[in-house]
Amino acid sequence: MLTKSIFKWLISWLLLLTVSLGGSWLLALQGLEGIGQIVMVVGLVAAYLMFTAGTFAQCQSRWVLWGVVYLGIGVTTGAIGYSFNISNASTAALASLATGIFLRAICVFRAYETLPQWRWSAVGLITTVDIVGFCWRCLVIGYISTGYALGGVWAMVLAFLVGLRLIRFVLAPGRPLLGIARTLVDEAVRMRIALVFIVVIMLLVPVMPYLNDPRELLKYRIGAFLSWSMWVTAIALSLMTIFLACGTICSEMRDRQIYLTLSKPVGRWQYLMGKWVGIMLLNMLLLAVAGGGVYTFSRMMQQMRENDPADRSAILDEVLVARVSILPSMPDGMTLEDMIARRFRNIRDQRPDRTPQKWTENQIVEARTRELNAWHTVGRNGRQTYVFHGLSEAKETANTVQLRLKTAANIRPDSQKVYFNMRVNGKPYPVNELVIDVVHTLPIDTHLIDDRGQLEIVISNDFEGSGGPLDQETDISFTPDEGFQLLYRYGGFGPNLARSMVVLWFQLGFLAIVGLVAGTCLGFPVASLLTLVIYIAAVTSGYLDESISAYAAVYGEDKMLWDQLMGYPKSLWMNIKDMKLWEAAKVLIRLAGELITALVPSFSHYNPIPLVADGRVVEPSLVGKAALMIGVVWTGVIGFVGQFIFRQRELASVTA
Amino acid sequence: MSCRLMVEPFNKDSQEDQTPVSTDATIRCIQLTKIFRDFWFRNRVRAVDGIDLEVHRGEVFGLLGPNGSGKSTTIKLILGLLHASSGRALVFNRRPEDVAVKSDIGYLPEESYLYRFLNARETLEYYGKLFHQSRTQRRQRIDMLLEMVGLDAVQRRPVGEYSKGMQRRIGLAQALINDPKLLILDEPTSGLDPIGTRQIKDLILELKRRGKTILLCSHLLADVEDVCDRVAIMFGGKVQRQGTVDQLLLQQSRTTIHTEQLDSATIDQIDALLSRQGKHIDRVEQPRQKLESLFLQIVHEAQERGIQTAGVRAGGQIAGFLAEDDRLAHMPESVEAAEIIDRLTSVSDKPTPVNQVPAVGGQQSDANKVLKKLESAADQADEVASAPRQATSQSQTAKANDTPVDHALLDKLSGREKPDERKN
Repeated sequence: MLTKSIFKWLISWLLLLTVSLGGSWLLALQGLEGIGQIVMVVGLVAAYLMFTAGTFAQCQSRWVLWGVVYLGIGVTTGAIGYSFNISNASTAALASLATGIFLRAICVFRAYETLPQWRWSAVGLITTVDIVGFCWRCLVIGYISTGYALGGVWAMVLAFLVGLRLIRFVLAPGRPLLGIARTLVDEAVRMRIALVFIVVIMLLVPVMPYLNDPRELLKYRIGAFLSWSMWVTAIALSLMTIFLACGTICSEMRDRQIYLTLSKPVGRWQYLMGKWVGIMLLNMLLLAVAGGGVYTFSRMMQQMRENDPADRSAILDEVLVARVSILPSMPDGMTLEDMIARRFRNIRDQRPDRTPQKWTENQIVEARTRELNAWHTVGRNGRQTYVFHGLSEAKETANTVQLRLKTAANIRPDSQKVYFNMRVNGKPYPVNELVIDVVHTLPIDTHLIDDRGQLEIVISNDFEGSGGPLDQETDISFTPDEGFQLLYRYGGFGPNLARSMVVLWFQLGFLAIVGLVAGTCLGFPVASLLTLVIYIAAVTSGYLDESISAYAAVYGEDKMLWDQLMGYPKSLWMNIKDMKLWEAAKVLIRLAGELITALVPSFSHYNPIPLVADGRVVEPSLVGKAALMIGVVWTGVIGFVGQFIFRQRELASVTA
Repeated sequence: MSCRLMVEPFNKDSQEDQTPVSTDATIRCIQLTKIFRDFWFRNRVRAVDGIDLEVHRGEVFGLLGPNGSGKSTTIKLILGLLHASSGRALVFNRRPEDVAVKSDIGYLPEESYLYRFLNARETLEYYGKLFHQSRTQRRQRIDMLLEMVGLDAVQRRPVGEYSKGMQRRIGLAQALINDPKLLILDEPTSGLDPIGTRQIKDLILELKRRGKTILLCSHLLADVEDVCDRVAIMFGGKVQRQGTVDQLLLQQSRTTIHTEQLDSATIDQIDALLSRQGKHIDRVEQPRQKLESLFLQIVHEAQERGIQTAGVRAGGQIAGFLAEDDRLAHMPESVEAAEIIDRLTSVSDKPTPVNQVPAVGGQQSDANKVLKKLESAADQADEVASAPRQATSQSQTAKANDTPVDHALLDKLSGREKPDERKN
């Protein structure tokens, strides 16, 4: 029935169409064809939107609405393509996508009340077809990064949605714990607090590969991508976990949904555990999606155009790989202990009257350090031999092994470089200069490894054939451990990444239980702040330990736990006795710091991100230790204590 | 047209109410005390102060009192959401901290504490899972409950978008999802429109008929009066008075008679008859239709004209799973008792026995019949006094006709109501 309002709307619509087409025609007659086309396109788009809005207002049938939406997309796209004479139609495809998404959103928004579930799937399917088509178009016309990034975003979103369905299916059985977990997952997805972090991960991971400087070597770009994407994932998920865990409990206490839940046959431990399970399943899904994204995009980066073939092979040998590091041995089967014993004998022979029968523990540690440094130093005109064993497997499976060096010089040259000569199993190595204080990775062909799986490296400081300055006066030294080690392939990149994600998952499990327990007895701001502080302390625990140790000296630091503990009162007393009050205060501050760091687990001891970014193996033993210490001990203890506190907690206050 | 006569009673004993409920206590509070303390453990508020309370199996018990009198705190103690400072609460003879007890409890809090991000179906799914219900069982019950509370058409909308009344309906549905033996309703009619209020009252009576125990906490005294068997009135954390509704409310010294419209001659005859007993008519008045009935009639007519609404629909039959046959198990007295309850809570078309005089109007339309009954009643006053159970039925029947059960409401909404029934 043509009501008055429909009639007015129809007149307006026809007017808009006439004005835009007429205006365009008039402008074309005046020679302003370009402006005329713009006027026409704007008019047509406006007319279409108006037509769609009018249909929405008047029409009840969803299928008519869908038809109008897609008809409109086709017409708009065609019009834009025709008007601007775009042969490759990329702009038209973009316009199609934008219009499609926009109108689909309107359609879904209007229809969701009565929309059966399968139509949501239809929406997703149609969107997927749109995006796949658009990405394909991008790849064809050369916008590779845009195509991959957009496709990646959508693929991750799709994977997340499919995973969400799977989680909901897993949580479908009628059990209180699963019901609570399911509601937590719904809360996370539907409330903005967690969704923000999920969106951050979905957007950043696919975009990050294309944010690096393309002039860098590809292996560094992939390494940087791995590092950044995993840090973004870890931090975003940690923050999500903290806010979600604290938020869900605190909001239910504040808004009193907890009254209803706990008036059902649900134990308080089930309530806490259900929340925890929900958070952990969500984290598992997000880690899997993010991990899948990181893996796929790092493999995609591997396929990027790269001029340097050495760079391409380095990616597989040094970055997208799980390598182990080994430290050198001394030639002729000598050990550090032999050298310490020899030094002890020498000293005793020189000063038999002033040398005790046996060194103290401190003296042994000191001697070891001295011997180690001496062995890692190549004096002027001197040479040192380092032997690496057990490389038979690497010889079979890899193209190269990597020698990692970090040099230092006792007389720092102006060039900031040291020059040397290196022979690998008797053959000269082409690199003979290194920048001081920088970690260098030197690839060594595995065919140089001998049949026993050994690699002997001789470094001489005598410039023979090095091309360096003949007057180099400095000794060359290498930082023990980090500054002189050999890395070789141990396993694939994929399983390594998966193990690292598992370790991150355990860390998130700890944060989740801390957040939940804090939420049961504190308000949201305090609970989330406390959990955040604990997270920061756990992540930076390695740095904190070092800083605290360096802050104030305490007796018995290198001794057993009891002696360490007794060292504090002793140090305090000694400082007070010597009237060093500030030093005494520092001892107390250190004690407080030690106590605080003892109350949080050390995430830095189980941090897999630098390992993965460096192409080093996340060993199964590390995963096991993380599972035991963080997943079982810390999480279990906090959960148990929290459950006990929560059981005593009264849920209603005097005002309720 | 009908007429109401108010006279002094024929026999005081006939008005005494003997509520047909089991004496088994479903809820028992023994010197229950709750003191809220501040951060320094100093006593701040004595919310509940040594109350003794018993709610019997199969009865509707009303907890009344002004704001801050301790009603909600008592309920939270009964539910185990708060720990008693002293004394104790027992539900089904077990402490409320015992999680298993809660399998048989349904709780509707004073406000709708629901998840705003879940829709109605998901909300009920969630609560169904808390009771270990299988997927099939949940689906069946949820379908029935959504239809019962009239929200099946909007079940996909998030609860956060519901009006307060719609949220109350979902709250009620979640309280019933486990087919509870004990239903605790805290202000169940707050925020509901008259249709919803009527449905809730009907539902309470129907559930009681099916053997459920109901603890009702409300400010709306008329609602409590309509449905409760016994009430306790709280003030200052203490129970000030408790007893059956009739014990507390009946004006023992007066009697009301309903009948068809009478002319003045007949009234004079009645007055003359009464004067033989030394009584006389105080007041003769024409009863007015209740506003509630008028409201329901208007809504019904609007629905018949097909006017659309974005809100709740009329609501359906009471959910079938709410154990119909449990009443025999819960009401151990006798089958006769169950039949009495059936009569009390249903609109009967059968002729009313002679000694249930003020029952349904319309069955005896002749004024002479009324006179005969009055004469008969006056003569047999002593006999009536010796039949307390029937007298109870009499008062309860009157009550039941004031608040017809759910299907009676449906009859009204669908136009099957008898015109003279509304007049009651």
